Amino acid sequence: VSTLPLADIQGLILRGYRYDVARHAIVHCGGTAAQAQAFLAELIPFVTTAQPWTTKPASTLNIGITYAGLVALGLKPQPNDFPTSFVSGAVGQAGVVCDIGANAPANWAGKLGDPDTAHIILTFYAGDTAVLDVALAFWAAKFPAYRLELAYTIDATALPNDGVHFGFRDSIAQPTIAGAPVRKHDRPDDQPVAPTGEFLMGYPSQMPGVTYSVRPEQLTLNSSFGAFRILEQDSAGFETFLRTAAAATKLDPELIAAKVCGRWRNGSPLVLAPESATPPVADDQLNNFTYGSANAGAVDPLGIRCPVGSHIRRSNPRDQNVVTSPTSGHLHRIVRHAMPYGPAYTGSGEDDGAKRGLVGYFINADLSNQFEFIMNSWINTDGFVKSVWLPTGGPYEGNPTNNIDGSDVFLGEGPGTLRVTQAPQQPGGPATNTQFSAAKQLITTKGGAYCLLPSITALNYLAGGAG
Amino acid sequence: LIKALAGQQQNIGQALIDLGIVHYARSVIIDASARNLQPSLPLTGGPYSIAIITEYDGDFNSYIQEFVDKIGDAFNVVLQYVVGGPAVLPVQKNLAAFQAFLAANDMSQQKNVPNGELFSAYPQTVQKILGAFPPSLAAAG
Repeated sequence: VSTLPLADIQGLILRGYRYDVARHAIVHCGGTAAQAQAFLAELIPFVTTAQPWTTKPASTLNIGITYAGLVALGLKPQPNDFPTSFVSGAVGQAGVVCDIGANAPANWAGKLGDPDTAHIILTFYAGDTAVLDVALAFWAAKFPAYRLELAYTIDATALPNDGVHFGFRDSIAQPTIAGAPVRKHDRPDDQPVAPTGEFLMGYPSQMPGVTYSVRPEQLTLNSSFGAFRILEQDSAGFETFLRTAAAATKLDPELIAAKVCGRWRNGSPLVLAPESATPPVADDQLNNFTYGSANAGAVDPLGIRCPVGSHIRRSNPRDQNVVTSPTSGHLHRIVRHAMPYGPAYTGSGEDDGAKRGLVGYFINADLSNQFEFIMNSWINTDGFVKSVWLPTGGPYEGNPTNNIDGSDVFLGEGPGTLRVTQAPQQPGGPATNTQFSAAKQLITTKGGAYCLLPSITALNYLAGGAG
Repeated sequence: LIKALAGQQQNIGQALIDLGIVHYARSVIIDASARNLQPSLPLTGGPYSIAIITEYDGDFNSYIQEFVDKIGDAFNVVLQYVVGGPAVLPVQKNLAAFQAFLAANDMSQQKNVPNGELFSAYPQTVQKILGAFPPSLAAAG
């Protein structure tokens, strides 16, 4: 049961669709604003909302619109009508999220490195590729009449058991959003329920007195923002890293993989399963854990189970004390609506020549305070962990700031670093670290676009040419 | 303005500890009518400027929201007395305008003047430094 107007909210913001394939079509509006508006008007009745299904549709359709797209639709924004990150766009904000070096927009696929390429992104989910072909062809047949150009398409294909490349089970941690329908596969975590306003504009956010909004006001209520990302994964590089690190340290490569991620490849979290992936942690417990800081009885304040610099602890520090406030770990959540692309990797370190990765949306009401914050303040730095001297209620000597260095091995820009922290040899002694550095960057940004995910009301406003 | 600043000192100090990214912070009042820019009491010169000087870790814009949450009320007090300030009050509800105001008045962000250089003797963040010195040593040092 939801208290939100689900028929006005795009479905991919609040729902996991659970289809096997997806296609993102990047559309450029080459004609007049009136032509773009007329296309949008045709599209709106087919947009999948967050309303519950009676029967699951053959395919879903959602729409994201970039700032350049809003302008192409005839909107004439004034200064401060939209947040600066959205106006600047994924290309303009590249430096903020460490899309530099190999990640730089100059290397992006489908001319996405040109901020004027992506105006509209049409996202389809379906049971198989043939249905995607039919769905896109239906709309693409209309493109010439409206002077729209299909700039780029990218397909995603689910891997077995919610898997992602690098061989991990994914889609485990998602924020619980106030008022949203209960997701079929929810695994609620220990974190506070996120206010609706963190994921939909027009509702109070978690910041006192702050309700995210844009102008004109018709675009605000029930709209959100998505960072569309194409992230290429070097599976051969990851397996090589594991083997090299295991040979150097005599540790089990699967333990190193788990330490990099914070979960075993089967999804079991290290906090609950520090020694072994088996037996697996029960499904409804996969997200039921905390780290703790100096609070009495904290399970893992120093990262001896789950490294402070592991991927899941960087990207979602939960209750760990981080800079800006002791509860800041709860204040920068995102909904991940992404799916793997490319074939599963079956090798053990050799390059098979295939391109693979993750593509989709990272959804939030404030790109700057959520998606960008995670990328630049958690994934790509090591200074965000608050200094906490233990024992002050914790079990071991030390300070978590000593147990993290550099950037995330998975998602960091440049070769990442991991410190695997060991418990002291004797009680009262210091925790020690074994440090691994990747030989190279393992995930590379191959495309991005910041999109407004408009409410149905907002889409109608845009299609009506009221801008 | 001076009274307002003094009244905020304690709040500002606690907020900066919570934020945990600021190495040093100070504010100084500058008297444009004095040859050495030093104000003198009573304040009969002017016009006056206030310079807020901080050295911090990370990207300021990424921390702006929690910064405003923690320390916004201090800015609400100070900006009442600043040219262009009242238009962005309260800063909590005018975040984009406040950010634009900061960018326009931030000396280190002005591309056409040589005020962007900063020397630092060390690369460590505030928290890495605090984490390097156990409490007894930190107190002694």
